[in-house]
Amino acid sequence: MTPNASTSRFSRRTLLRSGLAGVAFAALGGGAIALRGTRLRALPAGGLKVLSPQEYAVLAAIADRVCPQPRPGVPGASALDIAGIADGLFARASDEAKEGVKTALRIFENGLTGALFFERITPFTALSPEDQDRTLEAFRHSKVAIRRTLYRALSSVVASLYYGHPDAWPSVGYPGPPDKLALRAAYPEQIVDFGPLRARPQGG
Amino acid sequence: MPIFTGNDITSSRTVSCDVCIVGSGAGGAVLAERLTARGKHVVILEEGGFHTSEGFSLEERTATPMLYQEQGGRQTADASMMITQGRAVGGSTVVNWTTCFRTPERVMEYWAEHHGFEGPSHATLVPHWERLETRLNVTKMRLDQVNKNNMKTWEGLETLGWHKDLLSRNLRGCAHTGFCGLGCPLDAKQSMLVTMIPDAVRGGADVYANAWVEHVVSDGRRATGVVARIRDPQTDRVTSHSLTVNAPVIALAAGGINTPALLLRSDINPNGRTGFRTFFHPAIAATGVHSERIEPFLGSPQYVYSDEFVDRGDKMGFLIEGVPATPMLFGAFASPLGRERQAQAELLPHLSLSGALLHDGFDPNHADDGAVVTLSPQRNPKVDYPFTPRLKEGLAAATNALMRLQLAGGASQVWSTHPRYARSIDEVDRVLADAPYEPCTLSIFVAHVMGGCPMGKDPATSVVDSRTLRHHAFDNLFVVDGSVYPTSVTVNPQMSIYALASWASDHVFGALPS
Repeated sequence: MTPNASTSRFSRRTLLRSGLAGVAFAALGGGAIALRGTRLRALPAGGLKVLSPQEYAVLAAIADRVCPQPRPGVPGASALDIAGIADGLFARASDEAKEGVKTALRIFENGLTGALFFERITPFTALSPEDQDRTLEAFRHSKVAIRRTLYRALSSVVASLYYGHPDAWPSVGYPGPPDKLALRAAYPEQIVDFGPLRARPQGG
Repeated sequence: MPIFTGNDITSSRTVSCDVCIVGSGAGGAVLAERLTARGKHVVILEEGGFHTSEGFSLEERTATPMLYQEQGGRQTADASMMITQGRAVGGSTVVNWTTCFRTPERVMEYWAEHHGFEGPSHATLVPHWERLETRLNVTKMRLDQVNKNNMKTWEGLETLGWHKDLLSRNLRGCAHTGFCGLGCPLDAKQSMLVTMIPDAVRGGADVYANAWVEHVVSDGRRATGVVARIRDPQTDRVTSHSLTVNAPVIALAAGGINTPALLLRSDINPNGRTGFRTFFHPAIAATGVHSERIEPFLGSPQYVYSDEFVDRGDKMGFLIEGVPATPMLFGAFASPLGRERQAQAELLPHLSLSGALLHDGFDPNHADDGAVVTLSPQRNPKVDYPFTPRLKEGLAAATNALMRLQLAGGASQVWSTHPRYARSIDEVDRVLADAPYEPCTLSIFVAHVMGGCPMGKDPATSVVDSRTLRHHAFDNLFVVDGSVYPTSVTVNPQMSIYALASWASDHVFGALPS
């Protein structure tokens, strides 16, 4: 068994261990959840580190609906490339965490899992914005725990990265951090000097 | 006796010392300082990086991945609780909000009555607290220092006639900038990074940052050392370099979740109890809206608290404290979709918040109360926290109390973390009547990870001997961190861990060959 196969099975088991979702996954036959019909997006200039182009498109579509709709003074998630920033963050995560995110995005997008929940057969990225909102709300308020887990996990990533972005701060009245150098200059006596405690380069 | 980082380790190496300490946070740093003061050679291994105030960015999007476990994304397996644990030289003390309480005496009495606790009495720990409080300059806040955000909690407590008091905090020269959670830019917070770690290094300790301990080595009778994998500080990826530390005494101080996970990775789990009884103080908040500017991101995070609901008889108690709001934190914990979420977010400067820490670990009918830590197939920690009826009732009661509190403090509107909205105290019961308290139906925040290696008397039911903090399996292996608590501590735990580590240092010292 390859590490990837093991990881993949674990991730799905973790994500799909409850009730109806477990049945849905069993119906898929345990094979890889394919992404068919995903509406792709232009990729970030620097490319992707963890997500596939399809997975990136799903996360970007989720971010567009979870984060504010763009209007003057309020940038949208796409303008800030929140999905691309998330991809960069995932690069430092464990292999298991990466696989978990990728699996979650595939489940979210996949038309067959949608059909098994009797809601849709259209991939998430191909839905209208209104239907995407309905889908997200259905996940958010679902009686099936795993669906709420998917909503919580994916929405919190994109929303936290959105509001952590300096371009989003003006719209929420956050002035940003103070000038650190000036602040430290006002309290010079208490800054700890770690210089003598650091290791010296070997042979230096 | 310096601080090494992954950049300094360019090949695999083996070192020896008197005591190897895994983890540089509240437990490990105090233990190291105590042992080096007695002339012992200590090696401290820390998974996180060596970051100082010079490099703290004060921006959540860069500081969070740098200073928190799993880049800030640690959570329970079902994503119902977001776990904020530090990961740096100094551990969680680098990012905590500086709130200081001694361990409540009633909690230690409960341990003795229900968990076979035979460790130090409250009175035994008092001299340790006194010394540490002096060293860390623990100071009670004054009312004139309280920021607008916490003042709303204070005024609400006063209006309702509930208990209220000002918090004590470990500070020296605090400018009340509000960046405690991202690393203090002024070294005002008296964290382990700027106090006990430098003391220990000056006393001869070696600190290895970016050193992730994979397992403890044993010969079946004694622990003989640990094996760490070195991480690249830039990418956080494990390199091909290892660091093996051989020592006659080993102390695990990697904190809740990580210490039990290390024991499980090392197959040191003779009674199968490692990882069980892990506690979180599951925390929720209520958010109030004011016409005036509150700016809940300015000023220190916490100044005030209330004991009003600590004793709820057979039900889960909770401690009320003021809590801050920052943009990224807000984004992580708000749950609605775009328009509703942004409507909340645009009120940020006009918001005030109160939070509640729920007291888990006191369910007499549930031996496996709290969370359980196990290993994933790739041997990373995995945390499951079942939502028991007791927890759900506690979440409901705390939500109700916090919403009333914010309205009593002058808020024109309040929302829970579901969110449910109310404009008057009379509305609170109605809007919460059908509110769900199932996983992922409300936002739950975890800042205090305790338990998983509970101390006690009986090797069949506990992991660590409470008389010494010695692991039941090996007489030269100690656990000196918050993972040893048999229940949650019921208050912010840093002072509890400091004092326990200070006390335990005698036993660790005594285990060394003469």
